[in-house]
Amino acid sequence: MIDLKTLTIKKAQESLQKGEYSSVELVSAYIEQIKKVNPEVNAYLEVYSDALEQAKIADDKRAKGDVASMPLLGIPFAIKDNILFAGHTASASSKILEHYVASYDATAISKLKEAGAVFIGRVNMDEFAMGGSTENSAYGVTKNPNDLERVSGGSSGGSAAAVAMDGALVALGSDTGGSIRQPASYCGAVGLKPTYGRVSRHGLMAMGSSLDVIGPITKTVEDAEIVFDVIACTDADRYDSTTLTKKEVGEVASSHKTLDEQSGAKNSSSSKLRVGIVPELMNLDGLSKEVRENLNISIELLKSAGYEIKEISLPHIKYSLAVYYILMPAEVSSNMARFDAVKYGSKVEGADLLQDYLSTRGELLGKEVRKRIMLGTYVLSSGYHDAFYNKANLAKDLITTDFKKAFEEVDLILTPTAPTPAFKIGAHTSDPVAMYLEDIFTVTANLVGVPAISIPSGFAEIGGKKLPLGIQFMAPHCREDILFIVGKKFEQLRG
Amino acid sequence: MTITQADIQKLASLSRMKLTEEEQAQFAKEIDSILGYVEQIKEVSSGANADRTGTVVSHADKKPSDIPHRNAMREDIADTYLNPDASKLVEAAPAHEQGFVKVKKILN
Repeated sequence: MIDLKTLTIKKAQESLQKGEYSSVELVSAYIEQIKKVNPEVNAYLEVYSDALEQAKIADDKRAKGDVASMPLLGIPFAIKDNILFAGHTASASSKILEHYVASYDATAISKLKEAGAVFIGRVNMDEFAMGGSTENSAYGVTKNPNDLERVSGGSSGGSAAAVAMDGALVALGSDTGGSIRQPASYCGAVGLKPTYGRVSRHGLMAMGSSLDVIGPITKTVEDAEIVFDVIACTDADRYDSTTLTKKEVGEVASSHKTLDEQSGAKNSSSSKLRVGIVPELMNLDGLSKEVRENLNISIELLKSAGYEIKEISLPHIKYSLAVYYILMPAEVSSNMARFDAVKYGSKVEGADLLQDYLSTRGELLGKEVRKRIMLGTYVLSSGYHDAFYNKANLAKDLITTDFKKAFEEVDLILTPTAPTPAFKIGAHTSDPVAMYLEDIFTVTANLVGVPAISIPSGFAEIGGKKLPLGIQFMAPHCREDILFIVGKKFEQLRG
Repeated sequence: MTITQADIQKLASLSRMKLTEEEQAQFAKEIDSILGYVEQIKEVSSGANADRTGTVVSHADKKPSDIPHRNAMREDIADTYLNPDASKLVEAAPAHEQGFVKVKKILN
């Protein structure tokens, strides 16, 4: 019996290498677990029919001794349903792509393949990643494995639930405004949103192209780091011009210096990192008591470990959510234009080409998707473009400047990941603004483009259930390394 | 902010989506409440940065440290990256024939 509960990438690699079990046995154990719990949780939309075949190939490679360049050889992954894996269905949890089979691999998938990863199946999400609860999936909500009456979060809810229910060792997600971090927080997993441009978006179905990024959901910070090191790469010469070149990454990263780096040390020690907290964010109306208390405990833990905690001011951060809900739908409205019943996907036949468009988009796109398309069309339309879209870009600029100034004083910014623990299924369906407020702490990292990580920080006891809570650290552009240092330290402190 | 059902009809028509009456009413209500929230953006002023209008232009010469909000340009050159997969891309279309995507005629 493999103990999936406490398994990490490193442990699995050791066991696979020692021959304690094979990748086929490991993948079989996950598939057994999926069979047992998925009917209730609904994290997986599909377990790939070739999962065991992939595992067999990994075992053969290991037998040949070709393991050095393959840090993920035989490691089982779940893939969010909006990331392309050639020859396999990718539906974005939408009716319009129900039968769509990916024609090529996303760059992140290619990198994972090169590293030897095995893909078990695809997992549920809010349709086209639009939502924060997976309630917008055309294939049913993904329930929270910690409390089946509650949501798993979203949009990468299937990814987070898959990891939390021991249905995969790692899951890939995508994050446009918190879609990796918030479900990770709700389900008790680690979720990393890399710097914008560090992971190629090629093969990720576009939502808000200036905000989207692929990242891992894992059990530990170390696992997130291992996966990030594999998928981070430049794709600027080919498929994604917005990815940063190696040289650019170096330049950007070195423009921020920790105290250790300022004094010439090669590595930054965790104890000397400066952590910024934002008083403006701590007095929000919607912030739950449990989350506030948990954050204070986390701050005390960091203090006790020698971290310097500094209050910082981000005067424009209060506009983040409004900015996000202007820029994101604007980009959604143009990105979703490709679903025209001509290029791919399913089609509802009409009398002429126009009727094809109207019926296909009207009937096969879900409500939230259509709502955001119309919102985006509105804020970009003449007469409102200046008042909404341009103003939002101005505010985004001001928020970015706030962050730049803050990172002159601190190495990290700490917030809760979400203002509440996982909410009950259906709780926000009639109030879109209440639903959007769940993104209040996470959207800013996407607007500014900085990396951020959500780490489990404890539980809220509600109705006899232990609901996971998470804290979020944000770091300067291309300083994922600082997130990993503080994240690993925090895991130790939390115990 | 008051979004009417007529506004929704116009937006749906611009974005090529057929909506039922019931959907129109629901979308009007929800989009109105979202716009009511995001309207706070109007109070943002550029303050000391009066030159900034929010228009996304002149980012081309930004330095790497200004990343990510810089334009990433490259020459528009036809290349063969996707050629091996071209037939697969065409096959993904709902209707195709002899390697071409098939559409209904648009002129009478």
